[in-house]
Amino acid sequence: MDKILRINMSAPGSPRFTDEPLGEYAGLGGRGLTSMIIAREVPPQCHPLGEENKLVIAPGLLSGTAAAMSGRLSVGCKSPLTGGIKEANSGGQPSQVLARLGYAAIVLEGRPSGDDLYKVYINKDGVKIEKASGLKMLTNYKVVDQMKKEHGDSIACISIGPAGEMKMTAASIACTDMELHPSRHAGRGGVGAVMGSKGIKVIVLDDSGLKNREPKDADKFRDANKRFADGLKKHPVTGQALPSFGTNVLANIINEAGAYPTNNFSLGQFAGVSKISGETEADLEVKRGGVATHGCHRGCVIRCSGIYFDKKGKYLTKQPEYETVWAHGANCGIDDLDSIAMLDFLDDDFGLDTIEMGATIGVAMEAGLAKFGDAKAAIGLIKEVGKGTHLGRILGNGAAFTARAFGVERAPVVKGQAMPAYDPRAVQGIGVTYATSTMGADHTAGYAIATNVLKVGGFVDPLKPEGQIDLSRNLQIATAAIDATGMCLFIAFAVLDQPETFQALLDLLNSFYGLSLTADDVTALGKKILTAEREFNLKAGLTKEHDRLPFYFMKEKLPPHNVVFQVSDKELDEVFNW
Amino acid sequence: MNTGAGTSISLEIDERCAGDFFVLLQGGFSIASHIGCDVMEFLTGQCGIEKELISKIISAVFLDGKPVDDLESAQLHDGANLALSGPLPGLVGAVMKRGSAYSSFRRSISYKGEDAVARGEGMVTVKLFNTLTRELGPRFLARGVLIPPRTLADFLAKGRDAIAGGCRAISLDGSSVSYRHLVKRLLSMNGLVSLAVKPKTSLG
Repeated sequence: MDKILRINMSAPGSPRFTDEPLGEYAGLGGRGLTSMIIAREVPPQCHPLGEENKLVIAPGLLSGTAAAMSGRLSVGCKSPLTGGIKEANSGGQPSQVLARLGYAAIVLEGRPSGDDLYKVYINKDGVKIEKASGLKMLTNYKVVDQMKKEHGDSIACISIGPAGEMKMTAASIACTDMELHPSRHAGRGGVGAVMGSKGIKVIVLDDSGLKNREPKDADKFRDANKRFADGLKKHPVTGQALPSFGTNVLANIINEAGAYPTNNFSLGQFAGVSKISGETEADLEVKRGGVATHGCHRGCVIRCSGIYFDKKGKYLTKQPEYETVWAHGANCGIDDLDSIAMLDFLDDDFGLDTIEMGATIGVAMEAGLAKFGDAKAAIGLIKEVGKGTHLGRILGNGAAFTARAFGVERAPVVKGQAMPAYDPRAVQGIGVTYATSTMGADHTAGYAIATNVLKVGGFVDPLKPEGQIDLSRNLQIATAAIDATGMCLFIAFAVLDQPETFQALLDLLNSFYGLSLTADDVTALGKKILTAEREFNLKAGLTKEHDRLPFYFMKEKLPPHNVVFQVSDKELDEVFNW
Repeated sequence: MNTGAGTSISLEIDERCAGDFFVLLQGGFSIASHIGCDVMEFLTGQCGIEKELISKIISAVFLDGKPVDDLESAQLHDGANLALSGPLPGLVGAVMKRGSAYSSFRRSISYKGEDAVARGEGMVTVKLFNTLTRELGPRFLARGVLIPPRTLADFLAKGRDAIAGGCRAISLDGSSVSYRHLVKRLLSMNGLVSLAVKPKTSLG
């Protein structure tokens, strides 16, 4: 993993590729690499769909190795949704395969002059770029089926659906899972639209004949990996709750806390929650012959995913996770898991971010396009997006765009990006992260609850009112660092409570690369990434005035606790004072 | 219309089917209880859960939707809604934990103490989430829980094939009835019914 593949789509005649050494980007992976390339090479004020923008696809530092949980893929660009820097993260197989092929990143540059679509194929023998106009407007599942026919089953695919080709700002980039379903997505920020603007429909990766990347110190690496995996298995969250019920185990709890956004963020509790909870979902999956405990990539030991079968016992989609079940469920007043699973499938197939689309349908329902709870209508609206009708074009550009089109005040977005499944009036600390994240409203931006171990920013007294400002800052730093490793963020639970598991993570990195990283180095990396992202955003025109929640969160009381967001602008502005 | 009050249902089921009932517990069940006591006293004294077990497996507690940090300072009132959860994923999961280092994130909704509640008798609704359904569910189901008859009827009707096949004996107020008859009777009741579920091993 010592080179970068650059594909210039503007090259005269046809796209041209070059392999380059890592150079100044050596030592970076995942979000660290995507954000540094974007910050250094993309003009901040460029149009996100213009030739100056770049799409960077980067595995993590430990991807392609035997390290547990190392299969996350980072996708970076200037976002057409937020107008700022973006890193969207996905599971699936491509990260491991791309790393084994030796690439620290693929960088798509320029823009083709015509309407041709291209396919990129990479194996141990090299890179091929071919016109693939026959794939035009195919959905992700059909594209992958076609790739299987052309290249066999030993591949991993990174693709876009019709939404990406139509350059919709809710468009995602699909990654295939272990079963070669395009069910894992770099969903947020419209990264699929940027891939569409580059004219690349699919990147096919084939690592046949290649082995795992070899560590510098194999014995120490093996030992660290065992300690790391054991730490994850023994922790109650990563060893019990997530494998048993998946991330949707949170539904009941967040609902109980009155923080479960319902009917387009107008209520904090959903009466139908027990019909769509993780407990019910897992029970249904097992009864139908699906799977409630499944990894999204090889090497996952947490296995928080699953496989969802329809009423006839036939594969419908992967287990819809918490954010998706909420977005298309409670937020739209829908309490039917089969409908939610169908919406998840359609999002994956058309290549759409499930959070953005759930929030968008919620806004559309408030606008009167459908009634809250009408699952059939919600499915119809998503199909409009897939077909690219005029209405679909509005919806496919996200919640903020749809709210403007239909005159709806309640648009739950920050920097144009839809909020995830926690109402910031009930959980105000996460509202701080929504407001100030470099990514727009993003629950994963401040997710790595490893700050006590990392001691980022020193000890924070949780009882102090200002604790949430300091904590949000620290969480964002820790998260940026973990995103750079390519590790699944869920490792953070075990790392928080078990310092020896955090040490095992450091030992994995050190034994693999022959380094001697400490917790301070990890913190410094997180700060470096965030600083570069903040500077990019500032130059792109996103100032502190954009680090705000929509005004209605300050005036509309959220039942059942009847609270409004109370963190002041002054406090929000302190998050990035370090 | 039968009010359902005092109606008692007892099911003997194959052990392999016991888990089918766990999802029922997430929606809440009622317990006739002393009130005016604190949550810890309720859990240990009235529910019979050992203090060590509470410490080990109950990660989060919500009283009327408010996250509780100190179980000995939160008092139960008549009609209280008490939700118990096992380990919680996600940042917000960590935020909701008892005594979380991230409790400032939820300070606007945390339980901060209410007016003292006089001791007496009342009803408390209990909800069990995630791993607690299987860790505490069997003991609550064995001793009996109060639930709305319509909820039980819907549950039994929906899972008919699996659950009916696992039911060895069904008793309604002491009389043996068929699965179908039970569902039909439940649909004509209101109020609350007492449900006890007792698993039997295949050799039992």
